[in-house]
This record gives sequence, C-alpha cells and structure tokens, in this order.
Amino acid sequence: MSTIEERLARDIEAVTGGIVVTDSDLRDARNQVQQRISGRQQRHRRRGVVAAAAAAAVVVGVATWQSLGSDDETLSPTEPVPTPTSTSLSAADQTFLVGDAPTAEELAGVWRLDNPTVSRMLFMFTADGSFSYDDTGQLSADPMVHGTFVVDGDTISVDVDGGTAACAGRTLSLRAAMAAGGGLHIVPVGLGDFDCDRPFRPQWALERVLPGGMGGLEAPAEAVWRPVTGPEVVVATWLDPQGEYVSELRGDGTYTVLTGPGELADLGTWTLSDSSSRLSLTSSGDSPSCQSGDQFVLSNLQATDFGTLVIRGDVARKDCQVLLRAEAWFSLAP
Amino acid sequence: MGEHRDIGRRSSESARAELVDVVFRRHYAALLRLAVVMVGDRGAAEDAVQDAFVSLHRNLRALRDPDAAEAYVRSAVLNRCRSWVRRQATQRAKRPLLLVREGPRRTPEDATLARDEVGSLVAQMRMLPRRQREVLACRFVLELSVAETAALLDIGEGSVKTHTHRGLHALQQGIEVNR
Repeated sequence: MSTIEERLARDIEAVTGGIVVTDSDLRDARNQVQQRISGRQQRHRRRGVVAAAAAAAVVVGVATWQSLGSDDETLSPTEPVPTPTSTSLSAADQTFLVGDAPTAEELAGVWRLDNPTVSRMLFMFTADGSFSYDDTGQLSADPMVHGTFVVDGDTISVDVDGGTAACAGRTLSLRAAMAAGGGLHIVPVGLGDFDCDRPFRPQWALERVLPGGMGGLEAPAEAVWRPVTGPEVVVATWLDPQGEYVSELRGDGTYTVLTGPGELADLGTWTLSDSSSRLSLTSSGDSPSCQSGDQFVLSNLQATDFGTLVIRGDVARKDCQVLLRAEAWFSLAP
Repeated sequence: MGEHRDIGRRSSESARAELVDVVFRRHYAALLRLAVVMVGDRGAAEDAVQDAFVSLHRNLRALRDPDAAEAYVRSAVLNRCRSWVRRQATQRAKRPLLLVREGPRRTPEDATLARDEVGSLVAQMRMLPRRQREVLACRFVLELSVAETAALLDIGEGSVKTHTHRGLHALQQGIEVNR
C-alpha cells in the first residue's frame, strides 16, 4: 500500500504527463504573449492620445487646468501623456498588494476606506463599467472623480470624464488586489503632481459596503439618543442596518438611494420639518423604482454618536416599495 | 541566474523582452502543467500562464532583482488560477472536473490507483481549501522544498508543513470515504 504522498505524486504525474508541449505549441504561446504585450502597448498609446487631446481641449477652455503648466502644452498628438512618477511598485506596495487580482464582477459595488479616521472616502464601481470616487462620500452628485474603468490583470484603468478634482481626460492607473477577508487594496500608480493628484493617497485599504458588505449593524444598547438639531445632522451618506441601501442626503436638498452593486434605486428631494423631528424624502419623476411624489417619512427623528453617527425614527409614511428601514441609518460619510 | 542579471541590468525594452523570452522558454511547460493541475482545463491554464507572462513583462522594472522573475511568474500563475477558480464558483458554473489526457499507467503494481480514474486525486486536490491546494501544488507539481514553497507563497515554513499535512490528510480521508 503506497502512502498518500506517493499516490498524489503519481496521479499528478499521470495528469501532467499527458500534457505535451511541442515546439510549435511553445512558439504559438510565445506569439500569443507577444501579441497581448503589443496590444497593451497600443492601448496605452491610444489612451495617451485621447488623454492628450482631451487635456489640450481643457487647457484651452478651463482656467483650472492652466496650473498644469508647460508639460501639457508641449504634448504632441502622437505622444502619450507623460507620467512624471514611476508606475513601478515599491517593496511596501508589493507587500500591500498581496492577494488575487480583482475581476470587474468582484469590484462592482460601493467601497469605503477601512476604519476611516479622517476622510470618509467612498468608491463605486458599477456593473456597466462606471467609476466614482469621493472624499466626502458623495458618489452620485458631485464626486471628485468620475469615469469608466476596465480591469486588466491587477490593474484598474480609469478613463476620467469628470468630477470636481479636475482629472478629466486623464487615465488613472490603480494597482489592486483582493485582500484576505474580502477587502480591496489599491495603490494608485503613475500619478504626477497634477491638480487631480490631490485626492489620492499612496495606498487604500477598502472594505465593501454594497452589495451587502456591512449588514447586521446595530447601535450599542447604551447609546444615548437625542433629538436631531438641524439639517447638518442628516446631510451625510447613510447605510441601512441590513447593509442593502446607501442613502446620500446632500446639502442642496436632494437625495439618492443606491442598492445592489451600486444601482440607482431612488432619487428626489428631502426636507426636515417640525423642529427637525420629521424627515421626508420625496421621489422625483426620474426615480427608477418609485412614482413621482412618493414619500418616505420618518417622525420622532433622533440621533446618537458613538464614533459613528446614527439616526433613527418611526415610519410615518411609506409610499414606495424601496425598502428603506427605520430602525437606524448609520453614517458612512459626513 | 547570471544570465538574468546581465539582461536585467540593461533595463531596456529589448532586454525586458529577452528576459521574458528566457523565462518563457525555461518555464512555460512546467507552469502550464502547474496551471492544468490547479484549474483542470488546458485552455484556461494556457490563458493563465500567458497572462502571467504579460504581467511579468509589465512589472519587470518593478522587480528589484531580475532573478525574482521566476518566482514572480510562478506566483502570478497561482494567482490567476485562483482567480479563475473563484470566477467559476461565482458564476456557479457546473463544470465537470476535466482530465487532460489519460497517461500511461506508470505503476501497475498500485492496484488502488489502477482502480481509480487517473486524475481523481488531482481533482480532489482542487477541492481543498485554497492554501492547502497551493501548498500541495508547489510541493508536488513544482517540486519545491518547504523553504521554497514558503517563500513563494509568502507564508512560514511551519504553515507549509501544516497545510501539507492537512491537505494530504483530507485527500486520504476522501479516498477512505469513497472506498
């Protein structure tokens, strides 16, 4: 009777022994690799041309891009946009990026900075390939960066088409790894000393918010609940206790509700009345799930802050089937 | 190894291509076998290995030591096989475990294995937890030592031994259950 080690070794040998790699196979495979390398290089050159053209247009029309300086003014239409910093990874970055390369399917959803202490940055990758990033958690209205993304191996390339960080026309290169425990680690590479460099950090450790990344939230039993003092308390990005809906209440009186992997569930306007004890959300005609004028109203609104701001209330009205719950909303971002 | 270092020092595009070429010629077949064992599908395995070499080309300048190219590409293959397996699970694909080709029965004296389908133990290995199957692949497919396996997977040598033991034990139990 052979040992399990010997039997496994023989079975592996039997399986791999049947894999014949001829000289022709080797040449074909090498050619495939070379074609893919060449394809990448051509794609990068094309991106560079598009980015250069976009940057040139923006330099002409938008004052904020004047600070880009002479580098962009000397761009040739056939040359890629220069990337002043290296795209290589430091030893620390390589250590940070241990894990599987992410797929677009895995990225789809809303992510937040893990254990945020200062910033409440949120990221969103949607199933149809759009990307949003905001340092204050406002993904839907005025994110700092908006664009489209593609995943190639461990690199997420974002072609930026808008956002308050003035990165439009740039292609951001984010090296990423799915970390142990389902987190997402990202290292931006190839970023220069541009305006749009401002929101970026050397490394991001992100945790999933949607879909269903942070369900089961509860305020501690000893939390002291107080009346809401004004709109400044509710202007934030909120997560319901089941982790199914992200509600973004903005200072201009509009709101957006996201669900699933970042799909729009509802949008409209919100008001605070009755001495800030009554929060009303009214769906607009553009809402994909609710009728125009549908209302969701929380009365007896209260808040507590135990390091995370939480609000709760009693459901006084609920016209739409979007399943916002009243137990509590947990702040993801102020 | 010295050849790698000389090429790496030139750090030009042609030198990069040349180094990738050298590593490719030396290791493609072995890496393909590794990938087939890990994913059970030759087409997917070829994709994984080729993708790893594309990644090697892209990241060669980031490697501090050109000699690290072999370790990098091995790790990249394992990484891509892992992603492939996870994608299959995510898509809930009911993919049968594939046998590449029945090789010659090399040990007819082993009556137990002769009764089994060739590749059945490898198929069971693929069902093991990720770390166990990767450790077993390093030890039994790449024939790396405990220390080399630990370095490649970036875990301790004690962990390599533990995962090896657990993986083999699970395979043994699987055989006994199916007997």
